[in-house]
Amino acid sequence: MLKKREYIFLSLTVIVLCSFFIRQKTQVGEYIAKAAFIFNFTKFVEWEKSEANTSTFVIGVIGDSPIQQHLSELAANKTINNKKIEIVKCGAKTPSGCRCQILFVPETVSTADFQNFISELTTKNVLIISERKGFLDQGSAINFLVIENRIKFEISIQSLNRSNLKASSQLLKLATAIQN
Amino acid sequence: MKFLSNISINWKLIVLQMITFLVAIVICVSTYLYFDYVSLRKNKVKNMLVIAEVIALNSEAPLLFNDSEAANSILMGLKAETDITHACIVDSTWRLIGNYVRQGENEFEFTRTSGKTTESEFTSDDLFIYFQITKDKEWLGTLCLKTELTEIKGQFYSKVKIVGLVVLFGFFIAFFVAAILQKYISNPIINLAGLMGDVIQKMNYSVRSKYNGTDEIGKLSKAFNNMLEKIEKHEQVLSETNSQLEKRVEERTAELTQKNEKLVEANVLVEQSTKAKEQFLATMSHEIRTPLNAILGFQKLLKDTTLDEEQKEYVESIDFAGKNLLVIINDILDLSKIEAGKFDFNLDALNVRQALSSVKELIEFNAKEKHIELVLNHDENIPDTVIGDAARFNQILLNLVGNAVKFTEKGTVTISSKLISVNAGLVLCEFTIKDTGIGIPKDKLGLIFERFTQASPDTTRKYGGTGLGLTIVQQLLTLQGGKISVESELGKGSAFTFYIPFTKATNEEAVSDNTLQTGTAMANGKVTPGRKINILVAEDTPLNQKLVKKIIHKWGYEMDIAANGKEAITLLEKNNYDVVLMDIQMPEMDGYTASTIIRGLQDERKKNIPIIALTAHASNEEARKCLGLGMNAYISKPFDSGVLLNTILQLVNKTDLKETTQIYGEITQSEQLYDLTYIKEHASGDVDFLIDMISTCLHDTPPLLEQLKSDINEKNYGKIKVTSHSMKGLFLTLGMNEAARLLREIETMAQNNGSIDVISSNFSKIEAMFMQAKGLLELELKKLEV
Repeated sequence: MLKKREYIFLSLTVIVLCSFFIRQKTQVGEYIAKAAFIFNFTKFVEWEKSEANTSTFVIGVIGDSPIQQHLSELAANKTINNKKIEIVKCGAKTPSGCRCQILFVPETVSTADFQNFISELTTKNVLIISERKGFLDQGSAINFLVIENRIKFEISIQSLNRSNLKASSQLLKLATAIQN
Repeated sequence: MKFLSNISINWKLIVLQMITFLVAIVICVSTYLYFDYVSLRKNKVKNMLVIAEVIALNSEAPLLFNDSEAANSILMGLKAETDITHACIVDSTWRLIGNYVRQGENEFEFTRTSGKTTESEFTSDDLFIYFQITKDKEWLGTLCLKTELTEIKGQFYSKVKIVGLVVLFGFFIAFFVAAILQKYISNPIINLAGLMGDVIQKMNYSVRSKYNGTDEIGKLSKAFNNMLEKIEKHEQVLSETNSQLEKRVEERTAELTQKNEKLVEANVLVEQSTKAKEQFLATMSHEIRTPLNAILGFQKLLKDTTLDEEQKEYVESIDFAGKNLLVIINDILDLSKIEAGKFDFNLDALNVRQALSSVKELIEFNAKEKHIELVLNHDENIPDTVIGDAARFNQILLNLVGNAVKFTEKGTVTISSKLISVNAGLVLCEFTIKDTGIGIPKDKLGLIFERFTQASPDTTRKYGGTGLGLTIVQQLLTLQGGKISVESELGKGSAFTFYIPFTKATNEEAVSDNTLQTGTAMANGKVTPGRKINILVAEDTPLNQKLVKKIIHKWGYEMDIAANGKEAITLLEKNNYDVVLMDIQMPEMDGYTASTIIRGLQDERKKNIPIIALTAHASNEEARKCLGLGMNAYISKPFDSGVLLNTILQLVNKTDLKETTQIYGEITQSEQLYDLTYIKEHASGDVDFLIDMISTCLHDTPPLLEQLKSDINEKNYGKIKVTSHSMKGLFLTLGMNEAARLLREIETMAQNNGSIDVISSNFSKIEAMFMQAKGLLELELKKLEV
């Protein structure tokens, strides 16, 4: 049998290892959750009617991001507003050429780049989702945050309005912060 | 339901109506309440679903974004709904997203952990709602709600209370309505029942029910009225029939009374004629006996004188003819008495053996003359003493044995007795008189008991007799419950057999019989012929005067003769006599009157002088009358001088004994004072009854006497009358006739407000009489009690 000291040591080790693993997992699971969030956002956001005529729902991802893989996985099984989902990769320099309904801006995109294409995009009927602190002020509509290892988001009504998008009050309620 | 049959119809109807009301109302109310409760629950579910929907709509986002805080805050909105105690939101994997617990409540874990449908579920206290949350047809999770049912329960109970009050109120209203309405049914029935009760109690069949409805009660009262009518008619018919019957009974009774009266009249006539016949017979026999008496008497005197052979033969012929005539007269008298039903049997102790041997001795003389042997075979089993009429038994025996000797020329006459049986107080004996005489032809056997019939016409000529003897014997036996039969063979002899049932004598009677015999023997011993006796003879017929004179002088006694009653009394008053021989039928004053006067004389010795009645009126009644008037003995004429002498001696000796006289006197007195015959007849042998009667009378009289005394002192005539009347009954019971007569006088005087002095003198007499009688009666009681 294990001695008491040995037992304590062993359990401490297990706890440390677990916490590490969980953190790891959160980093990996972060994009899975964000992908799910993105899909769920579509349920609370309304696009213009003209957009409704398109046959596919396109989600654009700038640059390379682990989220792309997860989005693709989800898109394979789901539809949004009875439309097939297409995941496209957009260039970091010219994302405006990327025709999509949601544009995900990963944290890899620099503030400068974001500022460059955002002015073009905001007039278009595109929901811009970023994951970098301060981007909401730069013109993003929804910005993911990680608070206490949990994924949260903030919303800018100003940006939504500019992009001619309507967000459900339910969604607004869930947002950690709302910018007018 | 049994109690229903015992309560009045009013209550029955009320109870029935109330039961019906209750059943209906309970069914209605419970159905209403049930459906109300169901709808309450339905509404509750509906409300809850609305709430759940709102919550669910708001929960979509928190669910999708897995936001527990948001979910919780949404659920906090349920605070307003105070019924909801617990709520939670779970996601599609039943992971808890939001949870709500009402303030103050404990944690609660919903038991349901699967399912994708919206459901509501009731437990006794709670309602569970599982509401599905979907977004774009995608099932997101479930909202669970737990609601208390206190609200709807409270609503339900308050409804129950109100409904209960309404029902109670309705019950009372219904009760009063029922109480009023039942009268329409019950009143006619109650009236009808009351009417029936009246009819039964008062037997009044003229009442009618006044109910005119056409319902069942109407029919009932109609039928009842019909019935009453019929009964009334029947009653009328019955009473008519009854009165007719009564009338008829009255008529019949009247007829019967009439007939009865006629019968009584006829009976009186018959009695009168019977009396006349008897009187005729008695007179006839007297008229015949008186001269016959003289004839026989003188014949006896003549016989004692010196006579030659021829004369002696004539005298003997006179003797034979005279004696035969006497027998005939006696027989005729006996028969006439038997036929008139006036024959009395004097039942007393009877010694059968003695009777048989004395008859044998009597006849033996005649038998020896004819050289006939007379044999007596007495059965020793026959008790010496039985109860029977000795004189009649002797008469029967003498008749039969006499006949046997008469009709037998040579041989033997056998008298035999045999005890047949002794039971139930009866001693049945058989006596046979057998002779070897001439016998009776077979064809005449049936006739010999007929009156005036003998076996052959020349029997009378040859043997004498009247042909009445056997008839009398048969009649005497029949009257005593006996029987006679005869067996005979012509030329060889006859055998007469008779049975007679005697009553068994008790020991006392047997003893008394013995003492009687001893007594007689003693009396005989006291006969002292040497003593001079002075006799007064009252006799009107000169012939008989002479005869008596001769006989008395022959005895050596002194005598005086009185021609009638008056003379007798005069002589008696003048001289001293020892005994009076009193003829009954005399001119101027008969023997009855004379005796009565003698018994009323002042002189103590003369008053109590022995009187012997000498009369040709040979009957028991005559004898009783004589003794009743105070005479001491009775001898029928023609008399036997020996019997007369014996009687005289006995009476004279008795008077000599002072004590005997005193007893005699006392008895006379007590006989006047009271007479117990009346109650003895009623008691008919019941000694206890007799004792009870006498002692009751003795006990009850003194208080009445006291009462009467005080009544007289108060001169209260009304009370005197009542008291004397009630005392009279007691005296009559005791046979105190004189006292009763005095009381009757008092009663009458009291009624007419008569002299109080007379009443009180009568009272003193009565008191004295009662005191005297009381002493004697107490002695009698002592005797009876022993």
